[in-house]
Amino acid sequence: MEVYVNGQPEAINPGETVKDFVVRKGLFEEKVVVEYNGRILDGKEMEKQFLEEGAVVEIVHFVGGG
Amino acid sequence: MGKREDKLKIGSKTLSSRLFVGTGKLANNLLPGVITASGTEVVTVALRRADFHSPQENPLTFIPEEITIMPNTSGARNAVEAARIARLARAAGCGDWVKIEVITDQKYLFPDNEETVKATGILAKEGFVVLPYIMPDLVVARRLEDAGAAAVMPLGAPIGSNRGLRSREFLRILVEEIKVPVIVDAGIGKPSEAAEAMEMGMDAVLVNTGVAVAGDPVMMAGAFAKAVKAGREAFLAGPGVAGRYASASSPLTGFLHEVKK
Repeated sequence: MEVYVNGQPEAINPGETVKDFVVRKGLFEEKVVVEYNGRILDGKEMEKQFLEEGAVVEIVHFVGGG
Repeated sequence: MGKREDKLKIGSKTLSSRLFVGTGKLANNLLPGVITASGTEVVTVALRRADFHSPQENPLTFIPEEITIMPNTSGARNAVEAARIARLARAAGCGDWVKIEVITDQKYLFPDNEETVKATGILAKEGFVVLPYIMPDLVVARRLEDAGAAAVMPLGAPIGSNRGLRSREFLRILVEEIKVPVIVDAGIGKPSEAAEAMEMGMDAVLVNTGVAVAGDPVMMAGAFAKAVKAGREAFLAGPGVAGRYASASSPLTGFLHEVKK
């Protein structure tokens, strides 16, 4: 199974939720925001949302900027 | 007006400092020092895709809680993209301020005023406190006021150019005509330029590169703080009018060479 995260294809584990994926990528400690198929997810939704084949996911965070 | 009452109101916030600081090009560990030295109450950040391969530290962990975070929409090429970035930033839980930045020109990084007006209308309706970065254009600034902008942020010169207030004639017009706060954003490289902006009656300045690329960013942040204060006080004090010819400072009577005939 594959999803597109931040423009890249990513293999996912069966039954993996968005939160599982974020944690697996080591981003859990950071303040990230997730957009799943164009919809912004809050913390609870991240736990509930299973990654579906072909989903388009954006995981963003703050960086320095002017 | 007493100095104590000289506050800047934007959205629901009342600010004492008229210096906004951008966090671009600054190492996270310099942020606390720069923020303290600048006395700023508003800092900007950007939103980007997380990099799984080289995770970066979140700049927010280096910014004191009482500081207002103003995410920018850099990377947006039109109003729809700007609105998307703003919503993502708000979902991060840092409040509802947003600096609209819509850029399609890669050489001068000039803001797209037309798309910026559209983005401002969309986001103001959604309850954001919208501060759009614009080319200093009176007609556009008026449209932004109508669209619900909380302030307008015209450029002094291209982003990161350190060229100062090249647009001063147009900035002056905005200050005279626009009711919402006018904040000079971009181009200010030296404290003297920040002071000049404040002397002209700008409500605040936003400085990033001028601080970030200084040899000692913390010291430069302090220098900007003093310049902004000095410039603001000079504006409130009411500067004299510039004249073409001399106007003697000392009395023109009682000279030693005078002889009554």
